[in-house]
Amino acid sequence: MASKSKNPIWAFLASVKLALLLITLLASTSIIGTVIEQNQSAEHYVQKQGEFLAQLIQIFNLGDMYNSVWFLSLLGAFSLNLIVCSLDRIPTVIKVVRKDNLTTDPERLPKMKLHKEKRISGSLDTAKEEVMQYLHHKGWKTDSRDKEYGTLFFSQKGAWTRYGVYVVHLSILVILLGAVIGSSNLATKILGNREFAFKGGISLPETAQSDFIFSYTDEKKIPLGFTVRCNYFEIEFYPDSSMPKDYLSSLTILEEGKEVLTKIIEVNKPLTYKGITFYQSSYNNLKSPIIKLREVTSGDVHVFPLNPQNYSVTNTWQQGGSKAMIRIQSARPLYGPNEKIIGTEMKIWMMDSDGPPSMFPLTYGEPVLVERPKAKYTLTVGPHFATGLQVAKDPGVWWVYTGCALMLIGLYMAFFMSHRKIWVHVYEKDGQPVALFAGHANKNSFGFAKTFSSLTQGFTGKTQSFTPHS
Amino acid sequence: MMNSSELFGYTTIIYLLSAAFYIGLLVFRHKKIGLIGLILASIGLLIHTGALGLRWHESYQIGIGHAPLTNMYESLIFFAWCTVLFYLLLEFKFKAGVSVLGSFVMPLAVTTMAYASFSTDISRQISPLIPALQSNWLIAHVITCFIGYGAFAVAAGIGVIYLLKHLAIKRKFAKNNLLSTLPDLPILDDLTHKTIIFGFMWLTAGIITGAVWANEAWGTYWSWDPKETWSIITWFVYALALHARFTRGWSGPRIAWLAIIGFFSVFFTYFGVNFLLAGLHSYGAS
Ligand code: HEM
Repeated sequence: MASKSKNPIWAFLASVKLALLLITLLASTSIIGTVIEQNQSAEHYVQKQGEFLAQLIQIFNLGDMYNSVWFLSLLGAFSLNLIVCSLDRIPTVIKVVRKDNLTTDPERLPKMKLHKEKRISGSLDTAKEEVMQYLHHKGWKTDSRDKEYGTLFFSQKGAWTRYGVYVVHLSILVILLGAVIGSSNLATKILGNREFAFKGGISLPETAQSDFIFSYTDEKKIPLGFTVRCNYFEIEFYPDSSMPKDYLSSLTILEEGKEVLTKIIEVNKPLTYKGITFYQSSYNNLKSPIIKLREVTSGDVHVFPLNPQNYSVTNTWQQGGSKAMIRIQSARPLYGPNEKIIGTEMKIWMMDSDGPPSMFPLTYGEPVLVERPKAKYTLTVGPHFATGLQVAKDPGVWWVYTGCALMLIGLYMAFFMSHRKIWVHVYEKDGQPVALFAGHANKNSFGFAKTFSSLTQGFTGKTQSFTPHS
Repeated sequence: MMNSSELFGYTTIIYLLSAAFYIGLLVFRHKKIGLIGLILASIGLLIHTGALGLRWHESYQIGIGHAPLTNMYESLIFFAWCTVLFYLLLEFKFKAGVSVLGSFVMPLAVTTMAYASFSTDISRQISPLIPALQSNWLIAHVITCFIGYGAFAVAAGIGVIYLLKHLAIKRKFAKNNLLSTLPDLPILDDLTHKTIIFGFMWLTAGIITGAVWANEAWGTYWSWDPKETWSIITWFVYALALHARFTRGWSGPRIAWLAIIGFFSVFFTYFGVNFLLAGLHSYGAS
């Protein structure tokens, strides 16, 4: 490494000055994209910013600046700087962590900021034993080595926390790698395989299914490799408000015509299958009627789209292992005060495994409760919805999450943990054994000073003590 | 029965009194005055906490039911809460040595509370949440970010004090003036640094929880919308401060300036984006 650090290019790439420059550049250029609206048409910029600025926006790709070559290069340079800098320094850190601290010259101990001398009664050998036992008892595992005069004991904690900074730096690279892996640009432009990573969407009417979605970037079809069906969609509003409280869709995944999975998705509760995630994002009213039938105890929902030209179709479903049926016998318009049609009233015929058929009227938008011998149903006629699904495949997201976890762990190590060292030199002075304690911590020296003084104060064992330099 | 707005009102008044006593401490340098400021601030914080809990409860009573952390009003109130809490913890940890900081921090808390309560741009209603905002990740996101913001506000306050004292010493002002009550420069410097470290940890957690939330809600953990971009700019500013100090030995006035610049960036992330720029997070504007 020593030869490399003499290479001027390496030294430049490893320098913190470059890092400060790059971080400043990243921070300041990032502002541009928050001021100029992103991903608008060329005309929009001409209109909003004028000819001249629009031209600048065009040249520097400021309309999509976070994907522009220069911004990505800046991020690349930042990564390179981070890699080289860390590679350059890690060998030194490994040396510090692995260092044999028993080679320390005992003469240096009194020069450390934290040190304290303690006299011990008895022989030198019992004194050594006492020091060792004491440190061990206090949770400091010790090694020892005989010195010219007496013996040096050493113990350390948290040497590994020296790697904290590098865990943070590595985590940044892991996150950026995850971002690259999950980028649809990488998938289409470099791998030539748009199915590798994409963002897209599809609008699925209730009861409809699809085995592809549309890419957001170019609106091209992307095959899913399986089929997704929307069983039904529901929207719930806050009481006395037009504000939606929740949207949900029941989705079923089919492989070669066989149902493999059914799940209700909501905003913030997506469904993931084979690395592809379906998010509830919006909905559409298709302006045609649909019957929604919910079996009350099981919560099973069945929907039957209606054809206003031909109501009288028999619909069937499976109920408790046998076939159940529903049919619209007749439909007649409902008139308001001034002969205006305000709705439709239908006569429904319905039957399941037990009891005689039920007959009852049903009006648009007004739920009806049907009690059958073995089951209870709520029935509504309402609008036929299409659920708006956002569909994403991002194989990089677990890299990103791993990087995030590493970053928090690394920051904690770097900021709140420290490498603490304790030396004790036990030797004979004026014919009496003496223990000279010394300590060092690379961070939080205030907290460590407390630990050190309670450690030395606690060591009284049959001794009188004095501090040489206080 | 008291409602949460009234309690927030009392909180503001008590904070105002506390601020007055802390400023009094700065002027008259009598320890007891600072103690009264501290007691008032603590009582204010208790009422503030109760009021937050009450507002949460009220939202359930009207059938909406969400943590009081979802619009500009609630976030300002929470920001003030975090700032005062952080400051009080600092004062309990470092004892009277830092208590003059209260004369900078408490007025900030009062201003924030008063702005939230009186500005015409801000709705104080408990409003229902659109589905995208109903997420535990959102709550974690807001809490972590605002703890960070509270710390950064205090760091900037210490930065200002540092610069004032530094200037006073350079100009050789008379020894027996206001600023001589302030802690020594190295203590202020160290405190700024530690506060930034604390804030940086929480800001990082805040950005991460925000990204996880976005990914759960719409499948993109990062979309460079203005709020996200400004949060990363803020993060860069503080990363810069940490590296400049740790590897290039920056300290004193330069770190104090970075603490202040960083807080401007926080301020812009929080306000500027809502009021000046458009984006996904614009829900905060109402
Ligand atoms: C914005 C992204 C970065 C973050 C979040 C970050 C994080 C950190 C942290 C937390 C520390 C420990 C500071 C302390 O203990 O006070 C640190 C130290 C350091 N960073 Fe970074 N860093 C970043 C970028 C970089 C880059 C691009 C370089 C490239 C040169 C770099 C070089 C260093 C060095 C040399 C140290 C000191 C390590 C030591 O001597 O122990 N950092 N970094």
